[in-house]
Order: sequence, then structure tokens, then C-alpha cells
Amino acid sequence: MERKWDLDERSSALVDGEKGGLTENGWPELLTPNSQLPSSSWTRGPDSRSLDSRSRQPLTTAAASNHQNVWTGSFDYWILFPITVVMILTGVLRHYVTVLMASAPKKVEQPAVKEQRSLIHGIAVRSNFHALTEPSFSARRDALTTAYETGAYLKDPDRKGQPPANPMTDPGAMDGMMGMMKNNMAMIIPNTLIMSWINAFFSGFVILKLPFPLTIKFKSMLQAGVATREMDPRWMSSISWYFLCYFGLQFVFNLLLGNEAAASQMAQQMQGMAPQAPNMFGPGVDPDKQFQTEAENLAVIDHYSVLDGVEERLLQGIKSK
Amino acid sequence: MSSSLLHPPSHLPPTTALQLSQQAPKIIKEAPGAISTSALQSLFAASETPELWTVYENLLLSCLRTGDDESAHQCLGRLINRFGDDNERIMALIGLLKEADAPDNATLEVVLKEYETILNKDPTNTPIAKRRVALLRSLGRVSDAVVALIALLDFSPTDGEAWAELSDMYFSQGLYSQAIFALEEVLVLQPNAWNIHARLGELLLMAAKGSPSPDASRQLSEALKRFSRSVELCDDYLRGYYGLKLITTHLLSSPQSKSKQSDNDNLALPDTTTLRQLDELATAKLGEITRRFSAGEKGWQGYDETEITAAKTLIEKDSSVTIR
Repeated sequence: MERKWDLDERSSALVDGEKGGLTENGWPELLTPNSQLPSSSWTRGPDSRSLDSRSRQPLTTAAASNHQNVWTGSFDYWILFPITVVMILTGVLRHYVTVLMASAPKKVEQPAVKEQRSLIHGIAVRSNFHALTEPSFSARRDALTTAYETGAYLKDPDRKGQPPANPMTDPGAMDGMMGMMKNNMAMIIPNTLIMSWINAFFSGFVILKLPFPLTIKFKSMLQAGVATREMDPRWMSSISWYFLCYFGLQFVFNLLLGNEAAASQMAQQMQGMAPQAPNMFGPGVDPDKQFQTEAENLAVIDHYSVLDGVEERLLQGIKSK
Repeated sequence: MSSSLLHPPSHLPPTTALQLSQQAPKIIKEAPGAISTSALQSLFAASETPELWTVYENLLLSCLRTGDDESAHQCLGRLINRFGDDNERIMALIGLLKEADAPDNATLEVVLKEYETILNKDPTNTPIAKRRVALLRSLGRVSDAVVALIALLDFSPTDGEAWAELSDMYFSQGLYSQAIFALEEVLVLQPNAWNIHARLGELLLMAAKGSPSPDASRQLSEALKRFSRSVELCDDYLRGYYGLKLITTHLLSSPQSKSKQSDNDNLALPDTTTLRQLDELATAKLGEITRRFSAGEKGWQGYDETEITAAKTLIEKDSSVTIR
């Protein structure tokens, strides 16, 4: 494990280095006062800050240990704040974009409403049959079973017995999918852009030092993109700050946009993770099959009523008090 | 006071509705008229709550009840401002206000035409469909109203409110068995609604008393069971006990022939001892409720004044019979 880490670190350091030093990042004067260093040497401004700290250990094998960065200004704020501000603004913007793009819930046609509610009605009769007396329950059971079996409540009775339509060809289902797509796009595009922006400009920067000590395990969380083995885990890299913002700005959005802000990315993530609830009336479900099942369920009910012996129960209950 | 504004005002006694609507100008002045959607302003202003709009809606209904049309229009204006006038619920409120403003039946007919145009465009607009039924009923065209309501229930059989209304309309026409059927549908949707159980008992009792049909004793027995179930679900339900008292008195005074209902065990009438015990129970409970209500005890004041009076009369009549 140790070995592998070492290798990874080295290779990423090399890759980082080869991708271009700071000279290509547009901050040459500020960051690399001694830019005569070969571009393959992995030298980053904030890393040299850790050189300033007591340990003064070489950063990586490839790092120039003789490289002493003299830059001491509060340059890290110029990374910290832009990332934060940009993320907040993007969140707000995304909120309004989602609001704008949200399509009004599609009107359900009357036959479809009838189909759904008739099924729910059957379920209600099945689960609350005990509130009815025997004659009135059997009357309802007979009526519902007949109607279910003949398909009287179906949206289009002609299609009874045929396989359900392909959801991809159903325009109604496509709308729902488009809505999902739009939402996902509103999430993915800004995040990709910000991520690449940070990668292009601030990759490898260490911008924060946490005021409390942390164990080594936090290195992978706080120092993403900065592959240095010996750096104290208290230092935090720009990419890690981005992720922290990504997950932690929820409450700022709640404050700015109100509680039910559409920018609730966390909620969307949770939704994505949670197993999809069985969709009763979703595309691809054959209502005729549901009706047949429900008719069977109704048929097998062994009826009893709460009214059976209610007087005795009542008197018993009063006596026991 | 504002807590009662959060509940539908149809259950408010007239005095409370009057109080509410008298406060309406003040409430309208204090409550925010519109909620800004701007992110910056929402930082400083009060945040939007669903309660605010419930208050407006209920205030509007209370104001209409007491004839304060001006405040009602203000409430409606703010609701339209927020939700737009193509929202189904708001459409129904607009129609309600138009109905209230209408000076004569001819104007009401115009409103009715508007409802029908809306429903032609979108037959699933339930609030408007219900308004149309209510308007038809208030115009005196009950059979039309029943037809319209059945059309609504045909595609939406899970609407308890509509079933209850249908039951009431059938009852007003004297069609007891239909009314009972409709009320049973409400119980299918809300099996533990004790007021519906008691109401069903009342209907059954009236049906049994009204027409000496062959299954009158079955209906009486079911009514007894419905009332018992009602008070089993709610210990202090006045109407349940009242009905229980009524029906036990009725059954004790005119013993039913036992031979007929031997084929149906579940709905057989209980024996006289049980009836007597139930009668005692109902009398005791009615006495307790009226006593505590009259004494002004805390927690016993939620009853309707007229119902208490009726219960008192019933007990007095009963005790005078016993003395004699």
C-alpha cells in the first residue's frame, strides 16, 4: 500500500509537472520567482509555504528541495474567495435556471385520471372493507370486480390485452425524462465548468491551513490534487476547497433563496441515491394487469365488519374503565 | 384567533366567523400583500409561509359569509397576485366571489355558463366542477346538481367530500338508500370518521322510520351498530350518543319481530338487556355532557349550543316517561 501510494504520488507529481509549471498558468511572476527551474520540477507557491513551516522537508522526490519561495503575501485569499464566490453565484444562477426551465406539470387527461382513481378506489375498498356491512361490501365487490375485469375503467379499452406501449415512444413519458435530463444538465454543466476552471487555474494550490491538527487519513480529503506525502494534513488544496463548498453551501443557498430552493443539490443527490419508489402509474406499467390483480385481491377477501358485536365491545369498554 | 383562521371556516360558528371578518381589514393591513421573489429582498423580509395564503383564503370565505365583500376582494386580489388567475383553486374562489356579487338569478346563470366553458376546456378541474354543483344546488336545480356530481365522481371516485355532498343531496330528495350508499363510500375512504358513522346511523334510522319496508329492522339494527361504532371511536361524541339514545328508546318501546332476521346473524338485533344497557349508557353520557357543558367546565365547551339543547330535551322527555 505504502509503495503504491508512493508510485501514484510520484507519477501524479510528474504528470502535474509535465502539464506545465506555473509559467503556463498565468501567474509566473508572483509564484515562481526563480522560474529558471526546469518545468518538470514540481514547484508550486503554496507548497513552498510549507517549506517555510518548521519541518522544512522536501516536498517530493522530484521537488527541488533547494527551492525557497520567498513569496509570503496573502495570495491564497485570491484563490479562496473567488472559488467561494463563484460557487455561490453559480448556485443562485442554477436555482433561477431550474425555475425558468421547469415545465408546468402536464395536465392529466380525464380518462387517465379515471383509470388511476378507480384503481385507488378499489384499493380503498379492499383495505377498508371492514367499515361496511356484508351486503354493501358484496355489492361493491361485485361491481368493482366486473368493471375491472371488463376493463370499464381503462384509459383506452381498445388496447386491453396488448402489451404496454414502449415508454420511449410515449410523448408523456418523454416529457418526464426531458425534465430529469434538464435538471441533471443544470447540475452537471456548471459543476464541470467550475471544476475545469479550478483545475486550469488553481490546481495544486494549497490555500488554507486548518487551525486544528488532523490525522493522516484526512490527507486524501483535504489535499486532493496535491500529491505530497509529507505535507501536514492541515493544509488544504484548492480542489478540496471546491468539494467542501460543493457539499457545504447548501445552508447558504437556503438562506439566500429560501428553504425550498431548487438549488438543493444535496436533495437531488439523495434522490438519485435512494431506490426509486415503485411507480404505480408510471410509463410501462400495464393498467389492465393492475386491475386484474386488484379484482383478484377483492375476490379473495374474507369479509368481516367492525360492526359485528360492536355493542358488546362498547359496553365492555365502558365497564373496564 | 389566527389559529382558527388556519382551519376551513365552514366549521366555524357564525359568531366566530363574524369576529374574524371584523378583524379582516386589520389582518389585511398587517399581513404582507405580496412576497418578493428576489433573493436579496427575501434576506430581509419575512419568509413566505403556506399559512399566510391559508389565512387569506379562509378570511375571504369568512368575509363572504358576513357580507364584507370589500375585504374579500382584497384577499382575492392578493391570492391572484401570488398564484395567478389560472390556478384551479383560485378560479373557484373567483367564481365564488362572482356568485356572491351576483344580484339576481340571471347573473348566476351567466356565472354557471362560465363554469361550463371552463369545464369544457378542462373537465378535470375539480374545484370548478364542485362550484358548479354547489351553484346548481343553490339555484334549486338539485337533480342537475346530482347529475353533475355523479359525472365528477365517475372519474374521481376517491373524493370523500363529493360523496358526502351527494349523500346530502340524495337525502334532501328523500332517496335514503342512495344517500346511504354515498355515505358508505365516504366510510370506505375514511373508515374511522366517527361523525360519518353517526350520520350514517341517522340516515338508516330515518330510512327505517320513514318507510316500513321489509328490511326496516335490519336498518334499525345497523343504525344501532353505527351509533355504537361512532361513540366507540369518539368517547364524547354528542350526536353519536344522541342517536344511540334515540334508537334504543325506539327499539325498547316497539319490540321488533325476531323471526325475520334469523337468516343474517351479523345484523341481528341485540337482546333487550343489551339494549337497556346501551340506553343507560347513552343517557348517562348525555347527562354528563349537558351537565358539564352548562357548568362551563373547561374542555367541554366545544359542543354546539343547539345540539346540547336538543340533548337536554331528549333526556327530559325520557325521564318524564320513566316517572309516568
